[in-house]
Amino acid sequence: MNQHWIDRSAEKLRTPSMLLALLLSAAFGASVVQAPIDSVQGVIQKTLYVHVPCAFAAYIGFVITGTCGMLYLWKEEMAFDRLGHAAAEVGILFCTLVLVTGPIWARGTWGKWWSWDPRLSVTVLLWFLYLAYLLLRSFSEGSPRGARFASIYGITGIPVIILNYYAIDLFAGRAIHPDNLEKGSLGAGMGMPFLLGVIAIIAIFFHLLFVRTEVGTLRAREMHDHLSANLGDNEGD
Amino acid sequence: MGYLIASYALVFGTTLLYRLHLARERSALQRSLSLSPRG
Repeated sequence: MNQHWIDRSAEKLRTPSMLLALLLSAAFGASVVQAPIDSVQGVIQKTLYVHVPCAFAAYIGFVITGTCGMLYLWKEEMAFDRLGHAAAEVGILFCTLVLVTGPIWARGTWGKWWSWDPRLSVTVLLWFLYLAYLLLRSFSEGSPRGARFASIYGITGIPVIILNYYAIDLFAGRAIHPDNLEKGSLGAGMGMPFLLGVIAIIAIFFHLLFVRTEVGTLRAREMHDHLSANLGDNEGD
Repeated sequence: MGYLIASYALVFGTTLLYRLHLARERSALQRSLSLSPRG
């Protein structure tokens, strides 16, 4: 099997794990020490510095899955399928972190762990959507037919990502979730620690994505070797 | 403050565990491929 440019790039672009651990520690440190305490919500508002970057990472993962789905259908190269699969897995990891850190923040601010707010409901829908995607992949790993179906599934997930982002505006009046950042929901002095948090989480996202892509390529190579060996045995018989 | 620390610990711990899981699987696959006749 020849190495695809996606696999070569994944190996080259991987950031050292220690550097990422330091970056994340610096981001956490900045948000605890440097970031101001919100006058209304208190210290729990600082969950923002991990909750929102995790949501961005999940969005990026699911958008990559959809884009790779389109590229796979166009080029029919399995490397795009493997990258899309890896992005969905890493994306769902961050989406899970969003769904765990969100209720922690809600408990401290709203006094309850959960509310069927439009943003929260669509996030649960998004999580189930990509969980189903991963289940589908686990039943059809390495098969071009499974890859084709998963590509279409991945593309159809993109409107749900957009719906998730604009859920607060679309259901205005019924939403209790804070507004999107472009509406000015970030207070004075919160910009820099928030940016550091976003950089750290996105860097970790891409690091995990590249390692997961490498694992996917190794799995495919092992399956290819296994099938070739079996074929050789059958021909020998 | 406890909830905040729990959030940060969850993000740090979960990503670290996932990274370790990937490293272990990658090593196992590399070992298996190097042992195979075609490796």
